[in-house]
Amino acid sequence: MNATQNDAHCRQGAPSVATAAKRAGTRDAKRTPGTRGGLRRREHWTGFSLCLPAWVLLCALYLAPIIVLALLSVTDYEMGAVRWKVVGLDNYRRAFSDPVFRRSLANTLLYMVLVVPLSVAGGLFIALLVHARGVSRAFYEVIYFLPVTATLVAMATVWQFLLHPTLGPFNHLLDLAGLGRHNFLNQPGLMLPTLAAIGIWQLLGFNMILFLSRLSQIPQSLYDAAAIDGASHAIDRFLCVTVPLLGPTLLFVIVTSSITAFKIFDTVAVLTQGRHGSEVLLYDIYLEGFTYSRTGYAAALTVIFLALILLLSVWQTRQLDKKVHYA
Amino acid sequence: MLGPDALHVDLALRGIAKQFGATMVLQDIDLAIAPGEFISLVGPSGCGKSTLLRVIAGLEQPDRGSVSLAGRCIDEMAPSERDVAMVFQSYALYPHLSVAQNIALPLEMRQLRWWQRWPIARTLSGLVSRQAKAIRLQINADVRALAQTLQLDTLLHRKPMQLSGGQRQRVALARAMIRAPRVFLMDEPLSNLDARLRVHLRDELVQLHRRLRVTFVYVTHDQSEAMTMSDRIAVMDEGRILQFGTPKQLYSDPDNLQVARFIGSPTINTLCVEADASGNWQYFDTPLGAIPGRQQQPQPGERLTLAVRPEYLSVAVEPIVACDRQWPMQLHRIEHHGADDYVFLVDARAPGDTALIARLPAASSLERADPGTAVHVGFRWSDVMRFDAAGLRVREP
Repeated sequence: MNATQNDAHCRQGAPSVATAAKRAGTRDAKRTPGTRGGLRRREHWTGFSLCLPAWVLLCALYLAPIIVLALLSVTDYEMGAVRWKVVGLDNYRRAFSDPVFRRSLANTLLYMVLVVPLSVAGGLFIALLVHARGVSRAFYEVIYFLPVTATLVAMATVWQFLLHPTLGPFNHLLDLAGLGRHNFLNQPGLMLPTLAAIGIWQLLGFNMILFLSRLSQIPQSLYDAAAIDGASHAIDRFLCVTVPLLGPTLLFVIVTSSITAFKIFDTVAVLTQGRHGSEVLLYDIYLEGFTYSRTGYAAALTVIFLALILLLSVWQTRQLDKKVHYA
Repeated sequence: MLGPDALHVDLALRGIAKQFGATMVLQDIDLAIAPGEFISLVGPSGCGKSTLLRVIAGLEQPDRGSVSLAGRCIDEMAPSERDVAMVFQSYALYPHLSVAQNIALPLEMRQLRWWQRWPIARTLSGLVSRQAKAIRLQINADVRALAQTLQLDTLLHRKPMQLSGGQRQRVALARAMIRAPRVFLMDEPLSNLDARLRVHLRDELVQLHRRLRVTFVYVTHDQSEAMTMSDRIAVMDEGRILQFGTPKQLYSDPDNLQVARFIGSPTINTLCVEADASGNWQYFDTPLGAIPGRQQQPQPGERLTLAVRPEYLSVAVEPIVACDRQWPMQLHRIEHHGADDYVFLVDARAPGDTALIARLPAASSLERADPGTAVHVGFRWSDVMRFDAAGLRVREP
């Protein structure tokens, strides 16, 4: 979203700079005919040197690390090792035959499938409810936004207590209801859904705020027009006005929620330590890179991770962009 | 001016009242509108005219009173069931739909089931149900025909964003017209347009009304719009209808001072006069004598407001022959409006504010007079309307 806005900005900015340069050029040309080519070249170099500091920083801060990462991923370098050699694509081959990596990939995707639809739909639903409130709106906004501002690691301790098999009130309630006690953070089949629930809990507020800001921009007259045009039921008006006008926000929320879900790490690190059934990509990378010091292999996993995120975002944006109206 | 059905009532409002918090937005509004009439609701902003329109549309529920259309009470009906269409000040076009889709929407909402309306279902239901396909084809044909009459046929595939203000307004009109409603409600539809276009579209609306012969209820704060277009005008203020009548009635025979002031440009002149100890009327220290036809002797200290339209004031450097009363004033400035000049006059005894405006045909003897010139101003009693201290018209002979 930000990138597209920047793009648009650049596109608007570029012609005006060009015309200004042209205007300056013609004025100079009138004064000293014959040196126009030289002037243009000099302007060219001035422009280039003015861009240079930004380019250097861009390379040093963004491009260089990625290039280094890509280079590391084709070596067997280990943290602090003296000798290392180029192994080509061995790391990548190893990754796709590594059962832990494959499980992490599958778990991460499953986590995403659980978190993205529920946090987007839930965020929209809460936004609609909060939007309809009058004075109490600010109160609800704060309540739902709290998990966003709180550090997930800190909040995870609370969850750990709530879900504790013997001490936790949640299990106590389940027990009272006759459903038995469950170890949510230990049982392989339960860990991922539990992590997903915490992930949704954390994302809801953020998504809600994004939806709310857009909802308040939809003019009331559109709802009035829809009511007169035949959208007599609230659901009709929701589908006829709210959803299409939320389009760009919906796209943005889906993409950011997907990236956030794909990057799940902190709850896994704090609550389950990547126990069997809760392996995820980022935690796997963390283990390989920092615990086992297999830097080369971790770099290869990171490249795969980045490529997947990029693919996912581009695909989503392309798919949804066609259906979205930008006002 | 009124159609042959003028005696029948098409749209009737009875005792409409509405309160927002502590403010009474509408107070006991009664209004009977004949079929095919062009009615304007005018008044300063906040007078309740838009709320009244929304009550008719069903977008706002009144606290009391009822609305009936063609003899049927429509209080309980949803806006979409009322057989009314509305054009909004902001046009309220759906930004994500093309012009054609915008115009077609009211028909699609009515004639197609919800599952036939959604994009995927659109193609599917076209294959599955011949009926849906036939309806869709008919809607498309209707849209094209209407677009042609409103000169929108070349714009059908554009989005509202790509249209000018005038074009958007026409699309909004088309969307209202497509299902041939019994009543058109318009909420300041021209106020977002520039002056030239406004005058042009005013004419188009009048033509449209003439062609469709349905009831128009038109809300505006611009009295000249109301005067030029309407069969009858309801002037509103503070949630009440001050007067409901033809433009001519409102101009030459207003019921109260607010209506007299609101209608007409430039604004009507008002002179506050006071009865002196001997029962003679005084305007500053100009004795006006007794008001002809008024039987009652005024009480000392009694106040009246005399109102004269600018075109009935006479102004001249020399004393005026053809008038009943005259007094000296000073020329402040002259505005040239082509055929007419507006002459702004100040009273030497209360300088600073413009006291009176006279509207004289251009090329009068004052044309070249300098500001500050001493002039005579006069009127005839037959052109003067009287209002009491509460602003109500005094009509006694």
